[in-house]
Amino acid sequence: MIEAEDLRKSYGDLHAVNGISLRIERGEAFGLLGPNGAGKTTTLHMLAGAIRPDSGSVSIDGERDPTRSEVRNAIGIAPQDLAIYEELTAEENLRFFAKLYGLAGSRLGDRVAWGLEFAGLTDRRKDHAGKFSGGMKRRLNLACALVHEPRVLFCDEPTVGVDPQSRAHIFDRIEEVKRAGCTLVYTTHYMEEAQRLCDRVAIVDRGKVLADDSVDALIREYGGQSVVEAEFTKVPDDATSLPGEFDDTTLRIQTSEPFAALARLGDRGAEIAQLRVERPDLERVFLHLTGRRLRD
Amino acid sequence: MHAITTLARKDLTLLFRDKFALFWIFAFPLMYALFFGALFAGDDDGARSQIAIVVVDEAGTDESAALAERLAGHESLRVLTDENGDSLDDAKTLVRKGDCAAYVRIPPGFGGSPFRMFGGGDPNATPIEVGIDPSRATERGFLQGILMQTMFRGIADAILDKEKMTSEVDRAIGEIDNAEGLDAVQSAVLKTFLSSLRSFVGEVELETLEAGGPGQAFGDGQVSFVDVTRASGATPANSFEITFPSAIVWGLMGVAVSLAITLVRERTHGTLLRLRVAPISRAQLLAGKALGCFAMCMIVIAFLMVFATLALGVRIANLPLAVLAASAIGVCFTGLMMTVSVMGKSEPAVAGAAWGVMMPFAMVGGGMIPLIAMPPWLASVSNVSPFKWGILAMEGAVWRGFDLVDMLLPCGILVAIGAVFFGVGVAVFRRIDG
Repeated sequence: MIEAEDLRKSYGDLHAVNGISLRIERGEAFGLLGPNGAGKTTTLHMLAGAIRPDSGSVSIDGERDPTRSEVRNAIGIAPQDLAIYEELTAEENLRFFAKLYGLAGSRLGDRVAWGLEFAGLTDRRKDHAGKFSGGMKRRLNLACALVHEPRVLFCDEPTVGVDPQSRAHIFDRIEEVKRAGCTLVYTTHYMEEAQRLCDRVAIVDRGKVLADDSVDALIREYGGQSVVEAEFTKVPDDATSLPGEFDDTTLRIQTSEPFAALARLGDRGAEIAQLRVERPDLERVFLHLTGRRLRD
Repeated sequence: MHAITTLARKDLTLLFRDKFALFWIFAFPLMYALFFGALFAGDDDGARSQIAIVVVDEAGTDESAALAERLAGHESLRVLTDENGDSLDDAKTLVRKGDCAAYVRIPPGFGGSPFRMFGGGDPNATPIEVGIDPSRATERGFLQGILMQTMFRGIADAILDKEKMTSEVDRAIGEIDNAEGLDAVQSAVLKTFLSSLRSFVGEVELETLEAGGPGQAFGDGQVSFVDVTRASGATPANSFEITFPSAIVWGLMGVAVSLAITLVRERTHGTLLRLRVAPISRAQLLAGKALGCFAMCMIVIAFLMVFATLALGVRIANLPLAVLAASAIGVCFTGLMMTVSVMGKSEPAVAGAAWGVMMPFAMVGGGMIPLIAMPPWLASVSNVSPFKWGILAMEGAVWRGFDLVDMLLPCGILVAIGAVFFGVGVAVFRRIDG
């Protein structure tokens, strides 16, 4: 279990993290979502023990000092930057990081082979990482985080900037890791990833947690109603009495029960050419909580 | 220790795969040593550099030919032969083009009598003319001294020739007798002196003076030049023994700069974050970096010295002291690497800062300008440069004949500089890393 209590971190006048408290259960997949500069990465680094908070505390499985080697052996991190050595081969990268965690002998060989297979790079094991595509580097970046079999994996935007194939590969592999019981702390800009993977999500902005709950609960709380948009080939006679906004041939209804609304339209004799149902999702929750103002 | 060696081996692997860094670490120092070694070597092994001159003999006398011959035989001169003739214009062209430092023109009328002090010779004779390249001001005085020495040698030869000397004194006495307007007292004094000289020449066995050679008779042979070192015979066997210690320091500068850049690259590429989360302490992380740098320094020194020994005949006078010097230099440059690595937040910034720090050290420390060519104030400034102490320590072990006590000063200073810079680097690194 990971517990963070009132974490704070400033860089000069900038309060990057301003009192974040979290509790992540063992084996849970926990998402940290937020706009650019919200404090996600700083929080992740403090949770992983890479940087020291100005105040507040972090404990992992009850251990309050994340710099202890027992704690560090339990942690793996896949940073947003590609934290691999481009002049080393895929195999050398995995071997180097595995050796830092004390792996040796046959276990070292087994784990390096596992890492190459995990990243889909067994055939390219002798190639320098600098020659790899962005997707291959991302996969290797993740494999290096997992080569020592950590109990907790911190992933900072692990699928950013890769093609759909690599993204699917990485995502499938992370789901495997989750199924194996590894605790996941995951930051991403891809809401569908968080929605699919995470048991619980914290929306962070300006260094504070705005909301922290399961995805469904957040959607219920902040997602609003579904939107049903229907374009008619035959407009019902009493079109003006229809619920929602009607514009010549198109009706837009906001409702918490979209299928019931559709059934009522059919009862009124409406003939529908196109239909679109937009259910509330995490992206809407995100925008609702953090606003639509650009954060560049 | 396992983690430290793993980190160090990784850094060495990365460095050996960086072709640009390898150039500065191995190729450039080798080129430096070979180029300047060849430059200082001259035409024959171990010879000092000679001043190239051309002699234009317009007199065509025995004396002018003898003077030209003496100049050609001087150890510090290399007299060029002008294939297009010996005209003054040709000689001037050679000097203008930089093919030689100066020309020496022996004008018509030179010779006849070496005893002009006795009133002989042509009073209107043109003096010997030396035309010198203005950019070779250093050699001007040196060349003047050589010419005076050579001409005096000619006078000495003539004085020791009894027959010629007697004839010249008789001629001078005759000229005094025939001189018009010469004061009687002056005439008497000069004739008394010349008569005594004639008696001296006639009665003294000049062969006695000649036994030690003309030079001995007139004293200039009493001066000899020796290379000063502690051990007898411990002079540089060749110029590469002088250039390789400097080259080593240049190579280690390349190591320090390259590894400083790899440390900041770790930060910008995110691998430092991964290392920080690994079960290694910050002390182990920095120790791994330091070990990698130190090991690379040793590899560079070993490579350059083995090459110099096997290929160029460089002798290492004292191998254990050479190892001591190498270790001290390695410690020093490891410390420098640590400080340089925290002087910027990006690779270009650190690279710029690294050269900004190292180049002044090289300039004042004898890496570019020989220490002996520096004015006193700059020579004093050079004491702050690890280049100076590194070169001195290496030279001490290679050819200066230092003993352990002599080595303590340069090696102690190198280790102290290394420790200070390493401490500064670690302190700043800890502050940056939170």
